[in-house]
Amino acid sequence: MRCKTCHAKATVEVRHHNAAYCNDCFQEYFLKRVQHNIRAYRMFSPGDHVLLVVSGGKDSLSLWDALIRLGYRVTALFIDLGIEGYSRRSEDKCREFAARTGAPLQTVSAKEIWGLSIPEIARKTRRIPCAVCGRVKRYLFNKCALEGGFSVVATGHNLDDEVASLLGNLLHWQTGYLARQQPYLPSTHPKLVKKVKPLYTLTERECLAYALIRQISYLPEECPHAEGATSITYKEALNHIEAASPGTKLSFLKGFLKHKELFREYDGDVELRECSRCGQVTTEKVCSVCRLMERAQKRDSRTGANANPSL
Amino acid sequence: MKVIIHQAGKREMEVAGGKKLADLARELNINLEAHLVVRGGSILTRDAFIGDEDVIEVFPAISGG
Ligand code: SF4
Ligand SMILES: [Zn+2]
Ligand SMILES: [Zn+2]
Repeated sequence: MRCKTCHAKATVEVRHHNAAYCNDCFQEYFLKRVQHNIRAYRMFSPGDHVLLVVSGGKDSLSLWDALIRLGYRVTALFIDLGIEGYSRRSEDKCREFAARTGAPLQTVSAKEIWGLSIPEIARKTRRIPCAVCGRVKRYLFNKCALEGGFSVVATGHNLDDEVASLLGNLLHWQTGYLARQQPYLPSTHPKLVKKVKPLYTLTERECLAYALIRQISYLPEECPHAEGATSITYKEALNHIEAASPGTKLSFLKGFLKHKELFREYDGDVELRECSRCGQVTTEKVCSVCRLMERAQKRDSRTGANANPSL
Repeated sequence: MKVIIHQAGKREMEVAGGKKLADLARELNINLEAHLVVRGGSILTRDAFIGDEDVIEVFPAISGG
Protein backbone atom coordinates (compact mmCIF):
# COMPACT_ATOMS: atom_id res chain seq x y z
CA MET A 1 0.00 0.00 0.00
CA ARG A 2 1.26 3.47 -0.89
CA CYS A 3 0.89 6.77 0.94
CA LYS A 4 -1.99 8.78 -0.50
CA THR A 5 0.00 12.00 -0.22
CA CYS A 6 3.62 11.22 -1.10
CA HIS A 7 3.42 7.67 -2.53
CA ALA A 8 6.08 6.35 -0.18
CA LYS A 9 5.39 3.00 1.50
CA ALA A 10 2.33 3.42 3.71
CA THR A 11 2.20 2.47 7.38
CA VAL A 12 -1.22 3.53 8.63
CA GLU A 13 -4.29 2.63 6.66
CA VAL A 14 -7.35 4.81 7.29
CA ARG A 15 -10.09 2.81 5.66
CA HIS A 16 -12.95 5.17 6.44
CA HIS A 17 -11.25 7.81 4.32
CA ASN A 18 -10.17 5.25 1.76
CA ALA A 19 -6.58 6.25 2.40
CA ALA A 20 -3.24 5.12 3.76
CA TYR A 21 -0.33 7.27 4.88
CA CYS A 22 3.36 7.05 5.65
CA ASN A 23 4.46 8.10 9.15
CA ASP A 24 5.07 11.74 8.22
CA CYS A 25 1.90 12.22 6.20
CA PHE A 26 -0.17 10.45 8.86
CA GLN A 27 0.95 13.01 11.43
CA GLU A 28 0.04 15.79 9.01
CA TYR A 29 -3.37 14.21 8.50
CA PHE A 30 -3.92 13.81 12.27
CA LEU A 31 -2.96 17.41 13.05
CA LYS A 32 -5.14 18.66 10.21
CA ARG A 33 -8.17 16.75 11.53
CA VAL A 34 -7.64 18.13 15.04
CA GLN A 35 -7.25 21.66 13.72
CA HIS A 36 -10.33 21.25 11.55
CA ASN A 37 -12.45 20.09 14.51
CA ILE A 38 -11.28 22.98 16.67
CA ARG A 39 -12.13 25.51 13.98
CA ALA A 40 -15.38 23.93 12.80
CA TYR A 41 -16.87 24.17 16.28
CA ARG A 42 -14.92 27.29 17.26
CA MET A 43 -13.74 25.31 20.28
CA PHE A 44 -10.98 27.82 21.04
CA SER A 45 -8.61 30.21 19.28
CA PRO A 46 -4.83 30.56 19.44
CA GLY A 47 -5.07 33.26 22.12
CA ASP A 48 -7.24 31.20 24.49
CA HIS A 49 -5.70 29.45 27.43
CA VAL A 50 -6.88 25.84 27.27
CA LEU A 51 -6.99 23.45 30.20
CA LEU A 52 -6.52 19.90 28.90
CA VAL A 53 -7.52 16.99 31.13
CA VAL A 54 -4.87 14.27 30.83
CA SER A 55 -4.87 10.69 32.10
CA GLY A 56 -1.52 9.37 30.87
CA GLY A 57 -3.31 7.24 28.25
CA LYS A 58 -2.62 7.46 24.52
CA ASP A 59 -5.59 9.67 23.65
CA SER A 60 -5.02 12.56 26.03
CA LEU A 61 -1.23 12.49 25.56
CA SER A 62 -1.61 12.46 21.77
CA LEU A 63 -3.97 15.41 22.01
CA TRP A 64 -1.57 17.23 24.30
CA ASP A 65 1.23 16.69 21.77
CA ALA A 66 -0.98 17.78 18.87
CA LEU A 67 -2.17 20.97 20.58
CA ILE A 68 1.40 21.96 21.38
CA ARG A 69 2.48 21.35 17.78
CA LEU A 70 -0.48 23.36 16.51
CA GLY A 71 0.72 26.27 18.63
CA TYR A 72 -2.10 26.46 21.15
CA ARG A 73 -1.63 27.70 24.70
CA VAL A 74 -2.35 24.63 26.73
CA THR A 75 -1.92 23.63 30.35
CA ALA A 76 -2.57 20.00 31.26
CA LEU A 77 -4.50 18.93 34.32
CA PHE A 78 -4.02 15.55 35.95
CA ILE A 79 -6.79 14.51 38.31
CA ASP A 80 -5.52 12.14 40.99
CA LEU A 81 -8.44 9.83 41.75
CA GLY A 82 -6.51 7.84 44.32
CA ILE A 83 -6.99 4.52 42.55
CA GLU A 84 -4.55 1.99 43.95
CA GLY A 85 -1.38 1.87 41.83
CA TYR A 86 -3.11 3.00 38.66
CA SER A 87 -3.31 6.69 39.61
CA ARG A 88 0.37 6.84 40.50
CA ARG A 89 1.43 5.22 37.21
CA SER A 90 -0.92 7.52 35.25
CA GLU A 91 0.54 10.58 36.92
CA ASP A 92 4.09 9.38 36.21
CA LYS A 93 3.31 9.19 32.47
CA CYS A 94 1.91 12.73 32.49
CA ARG A 95 4.92 14.04 34.37
CA GLU A 96 7.26 12.25 31.98
CA PHE A 97 5.55 13.91 29.02
CA ALA A 98 5.60 17.33 30.68
CA ALA A 99 9.29 16.97 31.52
CA ARG A 100 10.13 15.90 27.99
CA THR A 101 8.26 18.72 26.31
CA GLY A 102 8.55 21.43 28.95
CA ALA A 103 4.75 21.81 28.84
CA PRO A 104 2.91 23.00 31.97
CA LEU A 105 1.08 20.41 34.07
CA GLN A 106 -1.15 20.92 37.11
CA THR A 107 -2.42 18.22 39.39
CA VAL A 108 -5.41 18.06 41.70
CA SER A 109 -6.14 15.26 44.13
CA ALA A 110 -9.50 14.09 45.47
CA LYS A 111 -7.81 12.83 48.61
CA GLU A 112 -6.22 16.20 49.31
CA ILE A 113 -9.49 18.06 48.89
CA TRP A 114 -11.91 15.72 50.66
CA GLY A 115 -9.60 13.39 52.53
CA LEU A 116 -10.98 10.46 50.55
CA SER A 117 -10.03 8.72 47.31
CA ILE A 118 -12.64 7.87 44.63
CA PRO A 119 -12.82 4.17 45.63
CA GLU A 120 -13.26 5.21 49.29
CA ILE A 121 -16.03 7.67 48.44
CA ALA A 122 -17.72 4.99 46.33
CA ARG A 123 -17.53 2.42 49.11
CA LYS A 124 -18.82 4.76 51.77
CA THR A 125 -21.74 5.95 49.67
CA ARG A 126 -22.39 2.49 48.23
CA ARG A 127 -22.00 3.57 44.64
CA ILE A 128 -20.00 2.15 41.78
CA PRO A 129 -16.63 3.91 41.42
CA CYS A 130 -17.24 5.03 37.82
CA ALA A 131 -20.44 6.87 38.78
CA VAL A 132 -18.60 8.77 41.52
CA CYS A 133 -15.53 9.24 39.35
CA GLY A 134 -17.26 10.84 36.37
CA ARG A 135 -19.09 13.34 38.53
CA VAL A 136 -16.04 14.25 40.62
CA LYS A 137 -13.84 14.64 37.54
CA ARG A 138 -16.29 17.06 35.89
CA TYR A 139 -16.56 18.97 39.16
CA LEU A 140 -12.80 19.21 39.60
CA PHE A 141 -11.88 20.25 36.09
CA ASN A 142 -14.51 22.97 36.13
CA LYS A 143 -13.26 24.19 39.50
CA CYS A 144 -9.61 24.14 38.38
CA ALA A 145 -10.47 25.95 35.15
CA LEU A 146 -12.34 28.69 37.00
CA GLU A 147 -9.64 29.14 39.60
CA GLY A 148 -6.90 29.23 36.97
CA GLY A 149 -8.77 31.62 34.67
CA PHE A 150 -9.13 29.14 31.79
CA SER A 151 -12.02 29.75 29.42
CA VAL A 152 -12.23 26.23 28.06
CA VAL A 153 -11.60 22.64 29.14
CA ALA A 154 -10.58 20.05 26.53
CA THR A 155 -10.74 16.29 26.98
CA GLY A 156 -9.28 13.44 24.94
CA HIS A 157 -12.59 11.79 24.02
CA ASN A 158 -12.25 10.17 20.60
CA LEU A 159 -14.65 8.87 17.95
CA ASP A 160 -14.90 5.44 19.60
CA ASP A 161 -15.82 7.02 22.95
CA GLU A 162 -18.45 9.17 21.27
CA VAL A 163 -20.09 6.42 19.21
CA ALA A 164 -20.01 4.02 22.17
CA SER A 165 -21.89 6.48 24.35
CA LEU A 166 -24.23 7.34 21.48
CA LEU A 167 -25.06 3.65 21.03
CA GLY A 168 -25.52 3.22 24.78
CA ASN A 169 -27.76 6.27 24.99
CA LEU A 170 -29.86 5.02 22.09
CA LEU A 171 -30.13 1.45 23.37
CA HIS A 172 -31.47 2.74 26.66
CA TRP A 173 -33.27 5.77 25.17
CA GLN A 174 -31.48 8.21 27.43
CA THR A 175 -33.12 11.15 25.71
CA GLY A 176 -31.70 13.72 28.12
CA TYR A 177 -28.16 12.54 27.46
CA LEU A 178 -28.83 12.43 23.72
CA ALA A 179 -29.96 16.04 23.83
CA ARG A 180 -26.69 17.04 25.47
CA GLN A 181 -24.15 14.78 23.75
CA GLN A 182 -21.93 16.90 21.51
CA PRO A 183 -18.27 17.71 20.88
CA TYR A 184 -18.79 21.26 22.06
CA LEU A 185 -20.69 22.19 25.22
CA PRO A 186 -20.98 25.95 25.52
CA SER A 187 -20.85 27.69 28.84
CA THR A 188 -24.39 28.29 30.09
CA HIS A 189 -23.40 30.07 33.30
CA PRO A 190 -20.49 32.42 34.14
CA LYS A 191 -19.11 29.78 36.51
CA LEU A 192 -19.37 26.90 34.03
CA VAL A 193 -16.53 26.74 31.52
CA LYS A 194 -17.12 25.39 28.03
CA LYS A 195 -16.09 21.81 27.31
CA VAL A 196 -14.67 20.57 24.03
CA LYS A 197 -13.51 17.29 22.47
CA PRO A 198 -11.07 18.03 19.64
CA LEU A 199 -10.53 14.30 18.89
CA TYR A 200 -14.20 13.51 18.36
CA THR A 201 -13.77 12.43 14.72
CA LEU A 202 -10.52 10.52 15.23
CA THR A 203 -10.67 6.82 16.06
CA GLU A 204 -8.94 5.30 19.03
CA ARG A 205 -6.79 3.39 16.55
CA GLU A 206 -5.69 6.66 14.93
CA CYS A 207 -4.79 8.09 18.35
CA LEU A 208 -2.77 4.96 19.05
CA ALA A 209 -0.99 5.26 15.68
CA TYR A 210 -0.14 8.88 16.43
CA ALA A 211 1.20 7.98 19.89
CA LEU A 212 3.32 5.15 18.49
CA ILE A 213 4.73 7.22 15.63
CA ARG A 214 5.49 10.14 17.96
CA GLN A 215 7.05 7.69 20.43
CA ILE A 216 4.90 9.03 23.22
CA SER A 217 5.33 6.95 26.32
CA TYR A 218 1.74 6.35 27.44
CA LEU A 219 0.20 4.07 30.04
CA PRO A 220 -1.28 1.08 28.18
CA GLU A 221 -2.87 -0.25 31.34
CA GLU A 222 -6.57 0.22 32.06
CA CYS A 223 -8.11 1.56 35.24
CA PRO A 224 -9.02 -1.58 37.25
CA HIS A 225 -12.62 -0.38 37.41
CA ALA A 226 -12.93 -0.28 33.63
CA GLU A 227 -12.91 -4.05 33.41
CA GLY A 228 -16.13 -5.34 31.98
CA ALA A 229 -17.40 -1.82 31.31
CA THR A 230 -20.31 -1.87 28.87
CA SER A 231 -18.58 0.86 26.88
CA ILE A 232 -15.96 -1.72 25.85
CA THR A 233 -18.68 -4.10 24.66
CA TYR A 234 -20.19 -1.32 22.57
CA LYS A 235 -16.82 -0.36 21.15
CA GLU A 236 -16.10 -3.96 20.14
CA ALA A 237 -19.50 -4.33 18.52
CA LEU A 238 -19.07 -1.09 16.61
CA ASN A 239 -15.61 -2.11 15.43
CA HIS A 240 -17.03 -5.37 14.06
CA ILE A 241 -19.47 -3.36 12.02
CA GLU A 242 -16.70 -0.92 11.06
CA ALA A 243 -14.51 -3.77 9.77
CA ALA A 244 -17.35 -4.98 7.54
CA SER A 245 -18.38 -1.50 6.51
CA PRO A 246 -15.66 1.14 6.95
CA GLY A 247 -16.95 4.60 7.76
CA THR A 248 -19.95 3.44 9.79
CA LYS A 249 -18.73 4.93 13.08
CA LEU A 250 -18.05 8.34 11.63
CA SER A 251 -21.32 8.51 9.71
CA PHE A 252 -23.23 7.26 12.76
CA LEU A 253 -21.89 10.17 14.80
CA LYS A 254 -22.06 12.78 12.05
CA GLY A 255 -25.63 11.80 11.23
CA PHE A 256 -26.59 12.07 14.86
CA LEU A 257 -25.03 15.54 15.16
CA LYS A 258 -26.87 16.59 12.02
CA HIS A 259 -30.20 15.41 13.42
CA LYS A 260 -29.60 16.52 16.98
CA GLU A 261 -32.58 18.87 16.84
CA LEU A 262 -34.77 15.78 17.16
CA PHE A 263 -33.77 15.48 20.79
CA ARG A 264 -33.84 19.16 21.66
CA GLU A 265 -37.14 19.00 23.50
CA TYR A 266 -35.60 16.57 26.00
CA ASP A 267 -33.00 19.06 27.11
CA GLY A 268 -35.02 20.20 30.09
CA ASP A 269 -34.80 23.90 30.80
CA VAL A 270 -33.13 23.87 34.18
CA GLU A 271 -32.44 26.80 36.38
CA LEU A 272 -28.78 27.06 37.27
CA ARG A 273 -27.59 28.49 40.55
CA GLU A 274 -24.56 28.39 42.78
CA CYS A 275 -24.11 25.73 45.44
CA SER A 276 -24.57 27.25 48.88
CA ARG A 277 -21.54 25.32 50.18
CA CYS A 278 -18.91 25.38 47.44
CA GLY A 279 -20.18 27.94 44.95
CA GLN A 280 -20.05 25.59 41.95
CA VAL A 281 -22.97 25.58 39.54
CA THR A 282 -25.86 23.27 40.30
CA THR A 283 -29.61 22.97 39.82
CA GLU A 284 -30.25 22.48 43.51
CA LYS A 285 -29.42 24.33 46.70
CA VAL A 286 -26.44 22.13 47.48
CA CYS A 287 -24.57 20.56 44.56
CA SER A 288 -24.43 16.79 44.05
CA VAL A 289 -20.71 16.59 44.85
CA CYS A 290 -21.10 18.42 48.16
CA ARG A 291 -24.00 16.12 49.07
CA LEU A 292 -21.98 13.08 48.08
CA MET A 293 -19.00 14.17 50.17
CA GLU A 294 -21.19 14.97 53.12
CA ARG A 295 -22.57 11.44 53.07
CA ALA A 296 -19.12 9.90 52.61
CA GLN A 297 -17.60 11.96 55.41
CA LYS A 298 -20.50 11.26 57.75
CA ARG A 299 -19.97 7.56 57.32
CA ASP A 300 -16.33 8.24 57.81
CA SER A 301 -16.81 9.83 61.23
CA ARG A 302 -19.32 7.16 62.30
CA THR A 303 -16.90 4.39 61.50
CA GLY A 304 -14.00 6.48 62.78
CA ALA A 305 -12.00 8.32 60.15
CA ASN A 306 -9.04 6.34 58.90
CA ALA A 307 -9.61 3.75 61.62
CA ASN A 308 -9.84 1.18 58.91
CA PRO A 309 -8.85 2.72 55.60
CA SER A 310 -9.37 -0.54 53.72
CA LEU A 311 -13.03 -0.73 54.74
CA MET B 1 7.04 -16.29 13.39
CA LYS B 2 6.44 -14.78 16.77
CA VAL B 3 3.42 -12.70 17.77
CA ILE B 4 3.62 -10.51 20.87
CA ILE B 5 0.26 -9.28 22.08
CA HIS B 6 0.32 -6.29 24.41
CA GLN B 7 -2.91 -6.99 26.20
CA ALA B 8 -3.31 -7.36 29.96
CA GLY B 9 0.43 -7.70 30.34
CA LYS B 10 2.12 -9.46 27.46
CA ARG B 11 1.25 -12.63 25.61
CA GLU B 12 3.47 -14.38 23.12
CA MET B 13 2.74 -17.08 20.62
CA GLU B 14 4.38 -18.86 17.76
CA VAL B 15 2.43 -19.21 14.51
CA ALA B 16 3.24 -20.05 10.92
CA GLY B 17 4.18 -17.04 8.81
CA GLY B 18 4.31 -16.64 5.05
CA LYS B 19 1.06 -14.74 4.64
CA LYS B 20 -0.44 -11.31 4.48
CA LEU B 21 -1.32 -9.47 7.66
CA ALA B 22 -5.01 -9.48 6.74
CA ASP B 23 -5.02 -13.30 6.61
CA LEU B 24 -2.99 -13.65 9.78
CA ALA B 25 -5.34 -11.27 11.63
CA ARG B 26 -8.36 -13.29 10.50
CA GLU B 27 -6.67 -16.47 11.68
CA LEU B 28 -5.88 -14.99 15.11
CA ASN B 29 -9.27 -13.29 15.35
CA ILE B 30 -7.73 -9.83 15.61
CA ASN B 31 -9.90 -6.99 14.33
CA LEU B 32 -7.60 -4.60 12.48
CA GLU B 33 -10.03 -1.75 13.13
CA ALA B 34 -9.31 -2.11 16.83
CA HIS B 35 -5.60 -3.02 16.77
CA LEU B 36 -2.34 -1.91 15.26
CA VAL B 37 0.34 -4.36 14.23
CA VAL B 38 3.98 -3.33 14.35
CA ARG B 39 7.12 -4.94 12.93
CA GLY B 40 10.56 -3.55 13.68
CA GLY B 41 9.10 -0.30 14.99
CA SER B 42 6.97 0.28 11.92
CA ILE B 43 3.17 0.05 11.73
CA LEU B 44 1.93 -2.39 9.08
CA THR B 45 -0.87 -2.09 6.57
CA ARG B 46 -3.18 -5.06 5.88
CA ASP B 47 -1.36 -6.09 2.73
CA ALA B 48 2.05 -6.39 4.45
CA PHE B 49 3.63 -9.80 3.93
CA ILE B 50 4.67 -11.48 7.18
CA GLY B 51 7.64 -13.80 6.82
CA ASP B 52 8.28 -16.94 8.83
CA GLU B 53 11.17 -15.38 10.73
CA ASP B 54 9.33 -12.15 11.59
CA VAL B 55 8.45 -10.88 15.05
CA ILE B 56 5.30 -8.78 15.15
CA GLU B 57 3.66 -6.89 17.99
CA VAL B 58 -0.07 -6.35 18.36
CA PHE B 59 -1.31 -3.23 20.18
CA PRO B 60 -4.98 -3.02 21.16
CA ALA B 61 -6.50 0.41 20.53
CA ILE B 62 -9.62 0.07 22.62
CA SER B 63 -9.82 1.18 26.21
CA GLY B 64 -12.73 1.46 28.59
CA GLY B 65 -13.85 4.06 31.09
S1 SF4 C 1 -12.86 3.30 34.76
FE1 SF4 C 1 -14.29 4.31 36.15
S2 SF4 C 1 -13.13 4.64 38.02
FE2 SF4 C 1 -11.65 4.20 36.42
S3 SF4 C 1 -11.04 6.21 35.65
FE3 SF4 C 1 -12.71 5.51 34.34
S4 SF4 C 1 -14.57 6.35 35.28
FE4 SF4 C 1 -12.92 6.51 36.80
ZN1 LIG D 1 3.54 10.19 2.77
ZN1 LIG E 1 -21.10 22.20 46.18
